[in-house]
Amino acid sequence: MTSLVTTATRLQDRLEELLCYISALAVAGMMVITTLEVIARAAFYKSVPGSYQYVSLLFVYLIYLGLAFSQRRDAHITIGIVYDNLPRKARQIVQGVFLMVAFVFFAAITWTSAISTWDNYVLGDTVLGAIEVQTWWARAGVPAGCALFSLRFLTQLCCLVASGELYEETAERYVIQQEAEQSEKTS
Amino acid sequence: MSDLLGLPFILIFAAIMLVLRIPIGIVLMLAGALGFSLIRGPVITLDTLGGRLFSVGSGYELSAIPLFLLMGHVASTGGITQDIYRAARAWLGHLKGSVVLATTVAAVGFAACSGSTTSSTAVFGRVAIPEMLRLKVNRKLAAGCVATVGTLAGMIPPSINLIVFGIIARESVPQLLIAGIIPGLMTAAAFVLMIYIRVSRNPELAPTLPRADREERMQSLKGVWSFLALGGLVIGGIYAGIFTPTEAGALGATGAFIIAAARRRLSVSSIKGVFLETAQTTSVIFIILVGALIFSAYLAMSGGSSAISEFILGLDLPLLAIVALYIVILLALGCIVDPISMMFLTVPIFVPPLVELGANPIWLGILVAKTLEIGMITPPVGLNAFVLKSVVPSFSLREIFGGIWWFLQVEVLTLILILFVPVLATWLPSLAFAE
Repeated sequence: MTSLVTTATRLQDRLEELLCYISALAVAGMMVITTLEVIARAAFYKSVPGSYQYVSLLFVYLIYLGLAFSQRRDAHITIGIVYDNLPRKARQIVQGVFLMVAFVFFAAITWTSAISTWDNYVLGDTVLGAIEVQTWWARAGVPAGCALFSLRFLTQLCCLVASGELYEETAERYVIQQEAEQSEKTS
Repeated sequence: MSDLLGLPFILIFAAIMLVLRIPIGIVLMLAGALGFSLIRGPVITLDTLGGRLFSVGSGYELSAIPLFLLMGHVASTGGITQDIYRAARAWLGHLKGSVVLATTVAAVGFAACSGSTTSSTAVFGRVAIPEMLRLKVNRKLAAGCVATVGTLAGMIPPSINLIVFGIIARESVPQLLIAGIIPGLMTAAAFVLMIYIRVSRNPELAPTLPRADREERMQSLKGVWSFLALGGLVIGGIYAGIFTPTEAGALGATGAFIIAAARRRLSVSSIKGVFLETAQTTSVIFIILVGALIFSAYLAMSGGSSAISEFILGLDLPLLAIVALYIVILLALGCIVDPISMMFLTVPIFVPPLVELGANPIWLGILVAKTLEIGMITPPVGLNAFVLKSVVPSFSLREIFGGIWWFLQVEVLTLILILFVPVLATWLPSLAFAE
């Protein structure tokens, strides 16, 4: 049972990292496409067909695919004025309620956005410009990102219930471990 | 009217969640979704959200933001911060204020390559603070300087805050970016003056360095000219109307890559790192933006936005007084909320009636950006202070906020100046974009 949980957690970690890499590729793609567009316009008085649409669509990946990874690192912006002064038990309760609500909410969003993506795929939804660009592949970024985001909340909730560890503590440990690995690689 | 009844409950719910360390973007999404549910029911709300998250995230103009963030990350990885800092030190180190002045001037240079105040603060925290502490600069002055000068990136183009304002208020982003030049440089000049006067009165605050010789000074420029030229190209291209902000961001990022690679300052792992860092920063910023959009859509649907707009239009006060009132509200909110949420929550409500009353929207944009800058350094949630604390843990928040105090006064004075002299914000765009 323990090994199954470990494997599942590792798989989840790898998936989050994979989506983060895809979103990094998306920003690289946006940069290259837009630069080519400017060069083509300046040098040949022509536009790269679909550049505007592809950049707009790739942007969706950039927003949603990195959400789960940022949550794992506790990188989302928060205000802890009251929370930081609460006793540990109260913090655990607050966090438990939040993680439960966030898990359910993003699971529901995953479902509805997946249906919306499927409908648009079936209907062949496109954005119009110099060429028609299908939108389903970009739309798929929303349920993919939200699904992993929701799963991360569930994992953090399980961790909180099982060990009592708050997710900011887990994240701190993870970041320290990553930095140590990084410096080991560098040296 | 009945839709308005749920609004106070939703606002209280959001405020409670905010102070309980729940991510701001999620608070806004949950509060917005709950508000929509009260009006339309949960099923329709979730269905709408499922489709809307895509349309919110597929904007061409907004894509300028990750590209400018990328440019800043590449410039920082390529060692531009160290180079600009070294050059500023060589040229200004012998003046009263020495490294503190150098940090302020270097922040202006870096701001032209990065539109993010927090990343500007983080990189200067890493580069300038160790040097200032080594040279026995007063700890509070060092902390206050780095935490505050980072905010210059919020005004000097390519400012992310101004891009977001332009998109929300449906005003020209290029005009807003160009409008930020004079207020940004003016604020930097005011900081320099304040530091110079303070150190002249109390030289122990920052020891003066020996004057660098001519060769050393010329040598120091070698590392910075190309990046400054790139910043100039980006701003100049927008000013001349040759590129859109998104194109300027892409060209800036590509140019930064080429310069850093030509100097052999990029490795495969650092390239991977800058793309990953940009992706992560973007998702952290944009989840707030998505949440704020959902929440402000709820505010509009509930009738809250129009009720406030009508109230503003009905006020029997001069325009300047109403703008000042808006600034006070922003300053109060700035103590607890981050800049992007604040813009999404207030700009759609306040800016249209103010424009209707005769306010110049570009001037309003600059005032909002300036107020947001101040919000970044005011306790208890001055984001820049927390960023600096995370980069230099040896500083206490008391020290950082204590150091910010003098800079905060300068910020408020420049804000008042822009409030009473709108031409400071509107002159340059009127020159560049005259019809």
